[in-house]
Amino acid sequence: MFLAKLQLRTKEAIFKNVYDAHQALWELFADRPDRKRDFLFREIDAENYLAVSAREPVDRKGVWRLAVKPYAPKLAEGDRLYVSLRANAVVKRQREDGGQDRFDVVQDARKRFQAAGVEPPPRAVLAQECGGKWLLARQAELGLCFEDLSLVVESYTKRQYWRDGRKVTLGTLDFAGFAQVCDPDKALGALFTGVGPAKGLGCGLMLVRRA
Amino acid sequence: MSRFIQLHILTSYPAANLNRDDLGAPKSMRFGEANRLRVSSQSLKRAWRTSDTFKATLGKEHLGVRTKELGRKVYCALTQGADLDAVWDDPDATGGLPTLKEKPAMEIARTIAGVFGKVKKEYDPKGDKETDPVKTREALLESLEIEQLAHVSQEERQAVAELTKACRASGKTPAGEALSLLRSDAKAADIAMFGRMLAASARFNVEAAVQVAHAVTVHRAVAEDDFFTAVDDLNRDDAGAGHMGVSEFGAGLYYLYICIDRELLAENLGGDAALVQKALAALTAAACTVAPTGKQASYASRAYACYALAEKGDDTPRNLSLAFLKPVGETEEEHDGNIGETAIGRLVKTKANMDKIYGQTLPPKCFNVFTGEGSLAELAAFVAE
Repeated sequence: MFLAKLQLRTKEAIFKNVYDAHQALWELFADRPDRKRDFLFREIDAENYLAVSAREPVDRKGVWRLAVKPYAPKLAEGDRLYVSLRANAVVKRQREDGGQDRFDVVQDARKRFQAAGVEPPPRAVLAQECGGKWLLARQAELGLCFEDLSLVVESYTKRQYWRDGRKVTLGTLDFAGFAQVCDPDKALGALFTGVGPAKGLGCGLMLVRRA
Repeated sequence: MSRFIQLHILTSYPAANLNRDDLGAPKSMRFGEANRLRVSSQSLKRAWRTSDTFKATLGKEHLGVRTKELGRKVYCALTQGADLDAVWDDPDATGGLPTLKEKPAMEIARTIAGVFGKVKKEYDPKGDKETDPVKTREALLESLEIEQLAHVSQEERQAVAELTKACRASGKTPAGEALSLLRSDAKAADIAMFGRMLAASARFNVEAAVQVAHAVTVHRAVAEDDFFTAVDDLNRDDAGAGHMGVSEFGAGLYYLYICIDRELLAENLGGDAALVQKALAALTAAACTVAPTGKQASYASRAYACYALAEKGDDTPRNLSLAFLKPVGETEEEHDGNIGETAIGRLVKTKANMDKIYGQTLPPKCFNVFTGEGSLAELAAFVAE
């Protein structure tokens, strides 16, 4: 696997009529049209991204500044990590017509309060509570054991994207905290394949460093 | 004589973790619409105050101590039969002097400490269920501390030592005149520079003559980027003892601005011109050579300034952080250049433009490690003279 630091060279991008950074980012990994997504990424700001991928990114258009490192974490049980994760934490609810609704955990909690006729607590409070619960419920799957008190939800942001001509709104939570590795294989799997939905929109890439 | 002295210092710290927040991440801030790393002025001042540079240049007699433990020291001195100085260096010191009983010693210690700040809640032996004598003693000692650190000059410490001696002889709790322990004419250079606030008696507060800004990186520092740096560490086995802990991050080129009110400094030091000069030389040297000590053991992030500019004048001071409003190293030309030299170029240009527009001619002096111009000795002499 590879970890890449991607910086969009704005001037080049404009010269070459590249206006959509996300599109340009996908092209780094698209060696053929039917390629399925085999990378994860995180937007740092409009020009800077980090990506974890199975293949090295290739800048065919020449609009990126790339730094790439091999990514082969050697994890052992009991290693302590500092973890940063942007996730689209959702709950799925079955509709009466058989379809499925997805609400992010904050939205979902607000709806429940509203249905009960109670003024919901501020979103930041709900994000910390419900977000924390969401992640902790998955930690075994991720091969991690979080130090509960260190786990913070740093932000809850609504992001809007255009996808197939439709506007998509995503509620994303930024998590940070310390965790111990309890199952190295599962943890590696989580690092490489990501956490939760909306991976194509920059969610789910778990970034770690030793702590 | 010029009233204000301004110092602009650029220092590059390699992999460092100088000043961290609760989560172990380096402190950061937004400046010019970009994330920067910062080192707080408190942590800089602390590093300088406790540095060997300060001790060597100013001597112990001109440096105050910051402590909560005055009451504790007095109590130990009285009950252990040692004088205050001996107990100051070694809390377990004992001696052949007469000793006082627990109760009166506690009273005396609380009264003396109370001059410097609010003393913690009195220890109640009946309310303490702890039976371990080591722990009960520690609880008692802790109750003699004041709630906030007090900055105490050597003269004041001496006064406390003498009063302790007198109390040892009389066995009585001091009152009235005997308790005027605070000095406004003290010769503590660090207190004169960085000021002090005493919650207990505002009259003896000292207004800081030296203002220190938070040091901030001249370039963008994105926390997520650290994960890229940290990969090397992640790819290695954790088993090796050599690994770096929280991986290397916080590296950067920092801009630091210091503004000295020379007149106020002289006033704070009772007009002692020689001591003012010494203090200024010590401050200049420390600001250029002493790094905050966070995680020093794992990073060896000691670094000297690569550029320093001193200015003197009577005009209202202004910093030059404007030079770095746009993060350094982001244009194509700057990306390939040396960030240090680029930053110096920007600083020099900003100063020139400021001087021109505001019609000021502040005599400058600088050193530059990239070109080998100037020296710390010359800079310190210029600041001090």
